[in-house]
Amino acid sequence: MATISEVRDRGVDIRDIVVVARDLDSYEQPLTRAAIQHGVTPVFWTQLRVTRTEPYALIAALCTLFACGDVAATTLFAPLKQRWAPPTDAAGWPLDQSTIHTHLEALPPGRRSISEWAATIPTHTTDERLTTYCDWLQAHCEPEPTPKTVGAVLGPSIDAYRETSVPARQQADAPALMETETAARATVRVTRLVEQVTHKYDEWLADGTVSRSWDAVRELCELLATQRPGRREHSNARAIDIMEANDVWALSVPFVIAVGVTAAEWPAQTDSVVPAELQEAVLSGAGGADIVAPRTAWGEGRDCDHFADAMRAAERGVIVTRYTQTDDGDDVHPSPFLASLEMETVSGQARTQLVSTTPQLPPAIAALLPASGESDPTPSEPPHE
Amino acid sequence: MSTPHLHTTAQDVASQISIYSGEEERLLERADRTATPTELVLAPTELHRRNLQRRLRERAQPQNAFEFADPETVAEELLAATDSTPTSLDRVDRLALLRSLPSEPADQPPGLHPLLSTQHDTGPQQLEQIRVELESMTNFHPDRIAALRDVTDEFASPIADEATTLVDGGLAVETWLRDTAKAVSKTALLRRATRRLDGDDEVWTDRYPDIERVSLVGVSSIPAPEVDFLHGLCTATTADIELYLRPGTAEYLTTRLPDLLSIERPGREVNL
Repeated sequence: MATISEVRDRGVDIRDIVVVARDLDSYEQPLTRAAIQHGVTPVFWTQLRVTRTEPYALIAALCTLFACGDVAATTLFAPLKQRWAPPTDAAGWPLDQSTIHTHLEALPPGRRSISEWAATIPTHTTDERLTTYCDWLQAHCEPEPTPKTVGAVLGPSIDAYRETSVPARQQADAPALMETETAARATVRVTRLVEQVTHKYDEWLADGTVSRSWDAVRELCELLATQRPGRREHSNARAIDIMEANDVWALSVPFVIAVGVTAAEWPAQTDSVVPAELQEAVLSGAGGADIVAPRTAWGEGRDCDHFADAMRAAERGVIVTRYTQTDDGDDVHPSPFLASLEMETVSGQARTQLVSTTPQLPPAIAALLPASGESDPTPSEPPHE
Repeated sequence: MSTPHLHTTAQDVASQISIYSGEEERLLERADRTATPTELVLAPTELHRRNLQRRLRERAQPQNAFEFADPETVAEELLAATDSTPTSLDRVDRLALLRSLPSEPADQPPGLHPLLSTQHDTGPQQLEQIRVELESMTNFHPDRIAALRDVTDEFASPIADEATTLVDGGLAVETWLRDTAKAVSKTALLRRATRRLDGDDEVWTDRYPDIERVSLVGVSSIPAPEVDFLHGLCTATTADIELYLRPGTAEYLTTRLPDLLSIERPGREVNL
C-alpha cells in the first residue's frame, strides 16, 4: 500500500493499478488496514455471493411469503427453514430442520392464506413456537407494504438471525467454523442490504417506478444484492481494485501488484472430495478414463493459469510481494512460479525507506513509471462504468 | 500457443471447434457495429465479461457485435422458448433439502448408507460437494459413470471402496434432490438444453438466428456439462466455436478434449 501511495503521488492514476491475490479471504483485513493507513480506498472484488447465503434466503423467503395470497405449507415454513427467529424471547429458536420437516408432514395439503394457516396449525400440532411465528406473520402481513413496514419486517428478522441463529449454528458447526463464518459475513452484508432496499423502495415509490408490493421489494433485494458493492458510486472511481487472480483474466492495466506469492499459497491445494488416486487417474485420462472430465485445480494447472494471466494483465510492470516468515517464525519459500520470471529484487534497505516517515519509491519500481513529462500511452478509463 | 483446429476421430463434432491460448485480442478485434449481436461470448466467470467490456470501452470500440452470457443463462434462454420459464433450485435450496435427510439409517436412501455410515461428519455441504464434483466429471452421462466405475474397480480395496462410495453417494444425493418440481440446479438446465440441441430441433436457430460464432472464454477446466453443451452446439448450429483457454492448461485441455467430445448422445443422464 505504501508503494501504491507513492506511485499515485507520482501521477499514476489509481485505476491503472490492480492488486492481485490468489485467494482474497485472508488478505481482506490486512490490506484494508494498510490501505487506510496510507490513505487509499480499497474495493474488494470478492466472491461471497450474498444471494446464495442463508440470511439472504431468509429475507427472500419472507418477501415471497407476503407477496403470495394463498400459500402452500412449504412456502409458509420457508423462513423457518432459513432459521427465522422471533425478535424477543428467542430461547428454543431457531427450529431445527427435522422438527420443521415433521410439522410439514403433519399439515394438510393445499393453499391457504396466512390467517387460515394460523387457525389450522393449532389443530395439527402443539408446538407453541408455531403460534408465535403465525402471530408475528399476521401482525406484519400487509399486501401493499409501506417502506416502514418493509423495514419493520426485514430489519428485526435479520437482527434476530444475527442474535439467535448465528450463535445456534456455531454450536452445531464443524470445528473449522466455515459455515458460521460465512453466515456471519453474509449477515453483515444482508443487514446493509435491508437498509438499502428500504431506502430505495421509498425512492422508487415516490417517483412512481414501482407500486407497493412485496414482489417489488423482493426484486429490489435481488437487484441490489447482485450489484457489486460500490462500483456505481462515483467516489469509488478513485479506489484501488483488489481482485482474486482468477478474475483478472483478459484485464489489461499498466501495473499489477501481486501479493502473497509464496510456495505455500501459489500454488495451493484445492479442496476436493475426490480421492487422490482417482484424481490422478482422471487427470491422466488413461484407458477408459479418457471420457471423464478432469479438474485442473487437482494439479497445479489452474493456479498456473491464474498466475500467468495476472502477469499478462500488466502492460508496464509487475510488482511481486511475498512474506518470508510465518507468524510462528517458520521460513516461507517463494512461489515456484517466480522461477520463470526475470525480476529485479528490491533491497531490504529500499523497503525500509519505502515505509519510513519520509517514504521513497525504490529505484527499481520508479524505473517502471513513465518519465515525468512523458504522456501515458494508455488512454485512461472514464470514471463511470 | 495456438492450435487452430482440434484433431479428433469425431471430425463432424470437432472440426467446428478452434482453440486459442491467451489470444483474447483475436476476439476483441471483431468488435463491430452491427444491428444485432453476431458473437455470443460464453464467460462462466462474471468478472471476465466485465474485463472484456472494459477493454472494448477503453479502446472506444463498439460492443454491439457481442452478446455476453454464461452458459447456464443461454441454456435458460433456449428452454424458455418452450418450457414456460424453467426453474431450478439454488444452492441454499439444495442445502436445506439435504438437511432434511432422515437421520435413521433405515429411512435413508440406500446409496447414501456407505457415505453416511463411514464418515460420520458428512454434512449437507459435503454431500453437495460430492454431487457437484461427480456432475463436473461425468455430467451424469451413463458412459462416463460406467467409465468411472471401471477405473475405481481397478484400485486396491480401501481406495476402491472409498471411490465407489463417492460415485454411489453423488448419484443418491442427486436423486434425493430431484424430488421437487424444480430442476436440481442450473447445470440440470444446461443438460436439458444440451439434449434439445442434440435432438436436432430448431431451438438454437429460433433463439439465436444471427449468431455466427460462439466463444467460450477464460476457463482453466472444461467440466463435462460444458463439454456436452459444446457438443450439442456443434450439432445444432454451423456457427464457428472458439475456445479461449489459458496459458497453464491450454495444451493439456487440447489433448483431452477430443475424447471428452467423443461420447454419444451428450446430455443423456444415467437412470437414477
